[in-house]
Amino acid sequence: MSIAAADRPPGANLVRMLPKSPVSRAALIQWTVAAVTLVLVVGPLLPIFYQSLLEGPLYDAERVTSFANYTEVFSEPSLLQAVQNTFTLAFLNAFISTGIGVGLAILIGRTNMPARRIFGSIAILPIMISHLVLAFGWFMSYGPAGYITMVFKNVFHLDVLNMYSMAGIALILGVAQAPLTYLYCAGSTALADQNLEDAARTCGATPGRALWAVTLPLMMPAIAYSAALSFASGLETLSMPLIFGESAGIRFLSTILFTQGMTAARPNHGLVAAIAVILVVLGLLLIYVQRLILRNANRYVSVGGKASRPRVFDIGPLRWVAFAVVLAYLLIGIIIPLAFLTLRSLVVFLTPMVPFWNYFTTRFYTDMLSAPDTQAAIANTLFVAGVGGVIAVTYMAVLAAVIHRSAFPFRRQLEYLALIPRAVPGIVAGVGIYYAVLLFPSSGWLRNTLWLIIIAYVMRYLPTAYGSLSPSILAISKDLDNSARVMGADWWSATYNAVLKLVTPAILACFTLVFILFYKEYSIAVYLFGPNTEVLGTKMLRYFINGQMGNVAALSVFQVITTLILVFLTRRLLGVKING
Amino acid sequence: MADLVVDGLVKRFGMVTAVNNVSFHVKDGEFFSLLGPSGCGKSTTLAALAGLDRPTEGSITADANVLFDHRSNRFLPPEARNFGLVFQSYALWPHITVEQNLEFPLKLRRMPKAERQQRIRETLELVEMADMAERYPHQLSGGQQQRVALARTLVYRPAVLLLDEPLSNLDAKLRDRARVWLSELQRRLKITTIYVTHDQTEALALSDRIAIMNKGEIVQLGTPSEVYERPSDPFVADFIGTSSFVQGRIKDCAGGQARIEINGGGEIVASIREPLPAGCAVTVAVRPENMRLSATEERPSGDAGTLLRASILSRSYGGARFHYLVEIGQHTLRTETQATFEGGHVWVWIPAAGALAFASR
Repeated sequence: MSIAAADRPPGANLVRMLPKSPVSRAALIQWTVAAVTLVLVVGPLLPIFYQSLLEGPLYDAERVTSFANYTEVFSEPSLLQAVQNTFTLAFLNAFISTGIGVGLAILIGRTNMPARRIFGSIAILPIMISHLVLAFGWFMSYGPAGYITMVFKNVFHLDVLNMYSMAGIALILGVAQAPLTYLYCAGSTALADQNLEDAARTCGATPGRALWAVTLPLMMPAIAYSAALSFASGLETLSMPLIFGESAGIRFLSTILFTQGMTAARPNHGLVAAIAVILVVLGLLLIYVQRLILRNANRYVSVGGKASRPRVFDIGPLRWVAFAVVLAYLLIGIIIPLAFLTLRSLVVFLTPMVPFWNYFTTRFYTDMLSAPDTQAAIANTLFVAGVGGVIAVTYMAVLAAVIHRSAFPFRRQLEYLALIPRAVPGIVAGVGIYYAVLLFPSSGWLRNTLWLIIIAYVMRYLPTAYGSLSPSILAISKDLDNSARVMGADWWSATYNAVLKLVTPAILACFTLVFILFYKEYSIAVYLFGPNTEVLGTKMLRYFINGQMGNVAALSVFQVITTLILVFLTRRLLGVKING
Repeated sequence: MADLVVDGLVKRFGMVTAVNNVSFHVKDGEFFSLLGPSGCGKSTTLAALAGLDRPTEGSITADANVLFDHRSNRFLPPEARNFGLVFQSYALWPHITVEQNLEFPLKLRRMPKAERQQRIRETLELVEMADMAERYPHQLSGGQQQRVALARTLVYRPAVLLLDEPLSNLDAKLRDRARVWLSELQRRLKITTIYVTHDQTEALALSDRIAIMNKGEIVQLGTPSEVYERPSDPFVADFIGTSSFVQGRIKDCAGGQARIEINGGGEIVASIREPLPAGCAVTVAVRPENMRLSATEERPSGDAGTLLRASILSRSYGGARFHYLVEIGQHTLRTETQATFEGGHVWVWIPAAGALAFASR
């Protein structure tokens, strides 16, 4: 046996001679990742905070600090009105989206309502579609000159709900946000122990009673958590308030940020920064509230051990009522707006007075594919989503490995740091990067480049992507990388070969998620895009502001279809499912 | 091939001291076991040897190389030690084949491809897994995975082999065979081995020496027969074999034996490790296999010992023999025998050599 001891050079293999360097590769990678994260998260936030205390713009030679900007927000009546509107919308949105989401979760997930599987996949469509596109769809269907509005006005002489109102904005935002609530609540019912409901049934409760007394209370943490999430998205949302509020004079903090950045000749930077700080502070408070909710959630967690398929409640003839209600919701909320958006992209003019085929055209699509500026917007968006996505996911995978699999002394703090951007609305992330470039002239070469937009996107979506990667990294046994270490691999080699390679499916899923998020994002870019660095969303917004609805519709359809193709392909080719 | 010296090892987690002042010296080629119940610090000690955990105090030396020394603040990371560790979970990488699993440590050592393949083949043959090289870990049975895990560790010829309960995930039959196989392999390779287990049978069968640990400390260190036959305290007596205990006080002692008055009445003759003063409170440990049960009052001739009348509390069938729980005064003893006894009483013969008295603390 040649492996036997006698054949070995004595003592030759005791203590391996490792390459000597003053800094180990592990330390180098860990400190670099930590430094990048610090710059990425704090870099945009500090300049906003600084600007909010300055009376003039950041780039003025003379800098006077005061609280004038904050006093302005809370004393100027129109601004105070915007603060009030923002909160009203956040509350309404939380109510509406939670109501719809919980209703869908129970009807689709737990009852014998007909067609519930198809309904389920239509209901989550808005997650993959930009809110902006959904808003355009609603605008073209139910807006003052929308097709449905006109039908009701001219044929039935009836007024439908005025979308140019707080109620209208809250309704559409609620519809756009409901799928997230639906997914959270459906996920929590899937985890619940089936025996708990069975126990209620065996002691005499009717199905409805069991649903009301056991199932619904068990969903409470998921409901509370997603309500807080909806509240936060109500605070930061831009598309719906912009499209339905701006022309009716209903203003919100986010739309003020937008108009200051996009249309004002000389933006009031002090005001912009003060509003941004207020939004970030509110966001941090909401994160804190969510943490409290999750901490107290143990009372509701029922760990049954094995994941059993939840039993379906037989709701008798009521199921046809449920069917009709959900069908109407899906038609009005999602299908009709998307249908008219598509129709609008194929006609010169859309009105119920004239059959639409009289005005049929493919002009908007040929425009889109031939005009240099839309070509550029498409190419830019693909670059940001593709190249930016690869960079983002690579960085985030290493970050997650440092946080979960290293002896890095500040890994706990690093995780908190990585979660902070959840409190930062998209447009505020853009504002922050914009100020950071102004404040540090050495980064000036980034101005008007796509890299700047990528940096801002990575910052904003850091928590989302990190959250999607973390569980799969945590699920890998520490023995796997430890055994590589004992065999002679350094930290990076062990982590790369025994952890990151193993979670390849999760990394691919994360990439698809990041790609879609980057692909549909626009609010972050509002402050950052230049003449050559427009993305799809900002291009659509400019078309909308100019009233070029056909072009808006064509670009929207293009974005929706390409996104759906991507989702379909990843599901088919990689077996990767994206949920939320 | 290394002498391993552990000196004054301490590991604290916050307020908890998991390992307290552990010292031992493993000789080149020795099979050394760390044995103890869960939470006794044996796995923490092993992690410190592997370099996965940094100890709080003490030192670890292999031959002339200091692996850890808290005074000079030296700590070699695991990858610099060239040790081999077989995990309880085997820790085979599921995404690559058996062959690729073995190849990884060789690639790290920049071994040329031809030599790598040669070495992998030899090692797989050694563990009788040569025809499984192309399989993925999930396609192997538990016993096969355990062999591959060992092969992956042996393939790069580590200086010291660390085994963390490697047999505990196998079923009882397979475990017996794997134990014999592992023992033969170790003696053939003469590799310094440290074996962590909570299973006394494994430790007794495999080890040259055993360190028995309790609450972070080594309570006894010796050869298997030493720790079995001459346990240093009641904990070891109970942990190695399942002893029953009788409390009492020394009446007098002479020639390594003592007469002891049993609390609650009666008298017993037991061996002692050192002379104890009269009146000293003692605990007497007796192993089930050392007691003889009989239906009638018969005393074996020649040997010193004690014959006691006991009432039978319960009987259970254990396959080869019966286990009787019997009561003597206020004490309950576990005994075993092949005979069946009807009725409520039995005579128990306890030879002085099979009863060990320890001064109670």
